[in-house]
Amino acid sequence: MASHERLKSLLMECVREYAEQAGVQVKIDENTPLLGADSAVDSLGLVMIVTGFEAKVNETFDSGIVLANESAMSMRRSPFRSVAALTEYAGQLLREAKAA
Amino acid sequence: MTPASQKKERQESIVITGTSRGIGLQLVEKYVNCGWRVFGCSRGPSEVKHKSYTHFELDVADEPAVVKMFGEVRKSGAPLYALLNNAGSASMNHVLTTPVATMEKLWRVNVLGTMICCREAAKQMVLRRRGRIVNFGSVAVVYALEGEAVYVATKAAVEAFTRVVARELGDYGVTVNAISPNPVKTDLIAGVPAAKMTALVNRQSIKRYGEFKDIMQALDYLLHPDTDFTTGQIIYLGGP
Repeated sequence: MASHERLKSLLMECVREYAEQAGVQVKIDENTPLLGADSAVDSLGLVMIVTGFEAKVNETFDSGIVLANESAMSMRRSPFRSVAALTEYAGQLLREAKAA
Repeated sequence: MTPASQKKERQESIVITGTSRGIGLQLVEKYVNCGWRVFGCSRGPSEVKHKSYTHFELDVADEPAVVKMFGEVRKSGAPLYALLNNAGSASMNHVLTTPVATMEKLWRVNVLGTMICCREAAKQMVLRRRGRIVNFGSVAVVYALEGEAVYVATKAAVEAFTRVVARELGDYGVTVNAISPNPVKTDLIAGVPAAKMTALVNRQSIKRYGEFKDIMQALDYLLHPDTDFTTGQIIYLGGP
């Protein structure tokens, strides 16, 4: 089973990689915003972070989850809003995939 | 030297959809024999038995199945370099007698399948900053070919999709183009009357049926590693 800490570590790695490539300063912890006015991540940066995170999750846990799915897009509060929210959402998708 | 004939220091992979017959089958045979790691898919089995070929029986519009296939590609250890969205379905009918089910079927295979495969392939390509995607349109789009309203609508969507995705992936080392073949003698046009086909061929700039080599030459150009500044293009074989 995917541990919350492992998922968070994978996501923070992706945010770190993005920050290095984009040359932006980002304080990376579970409260780091990925969306909105307070976020240092631009829209294309978010695409790259989500894409990289999905690849790492699927590789690490031998899964086939798609983070940007219909359910995510229709949620009242976006699961992409922060490191904590996206970590939690990935964990939820992995649990659902395992139960299916 | 062309990609098809190029021996690579590190084997990369290519995904081809619609590989059970016709052009897709020929593409598989061509690329495995040139040293590529090839992954293919179709709704039925494949007759190709080669150590460098892996076949998936799936519907390209089945998102979970396609995601799984690209997951297997990722795990193969041969980084994904190219995607050829060859899978397609055609239908010839006057719009007044076209069932809705025909539109739904063609939309799923031609458009939805292309979109899902592009998305999953691009996820791997952008992370490597390297990749080539080739979709398949049709000259029927520029001819606004009567009797094929539904088919033309789906292929027009593929061509428009290609142009937009090319812009979205342009900064990531991934080119996205489309080859829009003129009629090639495959199962796709088997049911079309000969007179209609002749009239269609005569509308082309170069008046002959297309051949596999014509498609292969265009692919060799588009897949070449040095072809990194050609994107968002629709190549109408035979000339519009």
